[in-house]
Amino acid sequence: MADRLVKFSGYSIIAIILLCPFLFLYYSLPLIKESSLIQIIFSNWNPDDKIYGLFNFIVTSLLMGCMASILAFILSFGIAIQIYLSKSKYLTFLITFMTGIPTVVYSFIGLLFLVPLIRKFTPSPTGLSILTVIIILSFLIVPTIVLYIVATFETVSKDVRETALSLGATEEQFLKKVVIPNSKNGIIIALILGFGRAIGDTMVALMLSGNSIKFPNSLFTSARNITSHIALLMPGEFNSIEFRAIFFSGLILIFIMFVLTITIKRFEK
Amino acid sequence: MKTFAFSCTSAIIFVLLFLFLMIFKNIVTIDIFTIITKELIAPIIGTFLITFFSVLIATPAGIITGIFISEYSNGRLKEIFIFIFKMLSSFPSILFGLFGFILILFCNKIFGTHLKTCFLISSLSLSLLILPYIVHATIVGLYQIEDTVRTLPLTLGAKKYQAIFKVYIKEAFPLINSGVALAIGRAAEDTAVIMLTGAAAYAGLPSSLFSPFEALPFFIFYSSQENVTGENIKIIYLAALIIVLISSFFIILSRKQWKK
Repeated sequence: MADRLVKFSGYSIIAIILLCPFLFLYYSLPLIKESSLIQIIFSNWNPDDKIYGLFNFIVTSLLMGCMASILAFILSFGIAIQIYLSKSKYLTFLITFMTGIPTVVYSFIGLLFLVPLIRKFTPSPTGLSILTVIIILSFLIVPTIVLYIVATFETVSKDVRETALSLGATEEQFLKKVVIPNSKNGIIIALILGFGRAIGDTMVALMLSGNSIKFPNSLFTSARNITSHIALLMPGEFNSIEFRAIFFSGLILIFIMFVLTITIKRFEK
Repeated sequence: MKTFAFSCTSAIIFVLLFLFLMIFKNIVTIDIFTIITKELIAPIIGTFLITFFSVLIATPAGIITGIFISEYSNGRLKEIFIFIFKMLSSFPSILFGLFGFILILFCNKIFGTHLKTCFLISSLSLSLLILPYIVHATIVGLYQIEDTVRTLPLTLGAKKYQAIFKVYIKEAFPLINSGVALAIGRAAEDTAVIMLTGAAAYAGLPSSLFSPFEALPFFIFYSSQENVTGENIKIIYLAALIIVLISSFFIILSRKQWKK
């Protein structure tokens, strides 16, 4: 009896989760019927002319994700090395503490301090630009990347550390010649995890990117990504075709995350 | 290499120090107690309630699902289930907000109800957001049980469910606990989900399960969109400090237990 109950509830919870993408698809069907799939993915957002393209937003999302994860990766790699070499408990504590800072707090701080700086020193007229988002996003994903890289370093070095040190290698040489080359997969996974978090974040882009619907020509222009597009369309009228675009945006996000999770699974082996 | 590592670390420490200096500089000049009891009381209680309810829903569901995956499924199916939850944990939070919204549409269509964005929908979507953390913790907790402990109740004649619910669960308890702590931290800090499913500006305390509510992260969002001048900015800083402390506390607690 209890066995059956567990099985039943387990199956039903998983069924609810599996149902989600189909519900998204179901609710975005009117949009797909109205304008073709290719048009949605490869054209610009122009609801007045009945063109519901999401191309600009997808490009912006990918651009922000890539730039932020590269920037964050450089920073995190250094921090991970520092944590590994110094074995500092305080530093680990600090990075763990950073994971608990909500994105809305980062964006609030960015709004107060980074936006005026960007306005002053770059050609961006309002200070709300892609560059602002990228900088704040990279701080947001630093802890994710650092903690994963440190964990990888520790697992890799566990078995061979004594051997290498007894052969006369210093800690630094050991890290450079043995640990880092052997933790390539872990480093790539950390990068992908950071990329996923950067793409999925809503509040930073919503508050700091300016949300214009133009194509992101340069780092100093204002742009809109998929997640903030969803948040911005939300107060709209439900029955309009325009509103259905949010469900399609959701589908795109699900697709991106699916690809990322599969890639991570490849590298885990 | 050492200089590179050191400069990266000092950069991040500098930024964090700056952040906290700013927060403290702004909140030392105000009367914290009055602001908390006057302006922030609704968001704080709202955050507390929404976190409590979503964890209340997600914990039993997550533990049961974890037990189901690790004990009642095997082979290829088990791998697929684990993959599903891994993917779910990578989903951006706004997708869960959308899920809550779809839930409203679905209920209104099938059952003919007149649901709107409300507290109940928010806590359901938040519970889906934190479900994978609890599931993962349960699976890992059950996985690391030693073989002797695993077979002992069975040799004494216990049925499978008795062994699981009376012995294994207790062995896996510390890890499940850590998963729940992580879930609390994540549920408290999330903005996108509640923004889409039920938080409203100046809503006050939720009067029932079907009314809108306020929460700290959402308070920070709408206040900083409205006006960031004078006294108001200090209130936002205080709200930010409270939410950072709450969610960091639970996340650090979770990591400490996980390490043990």
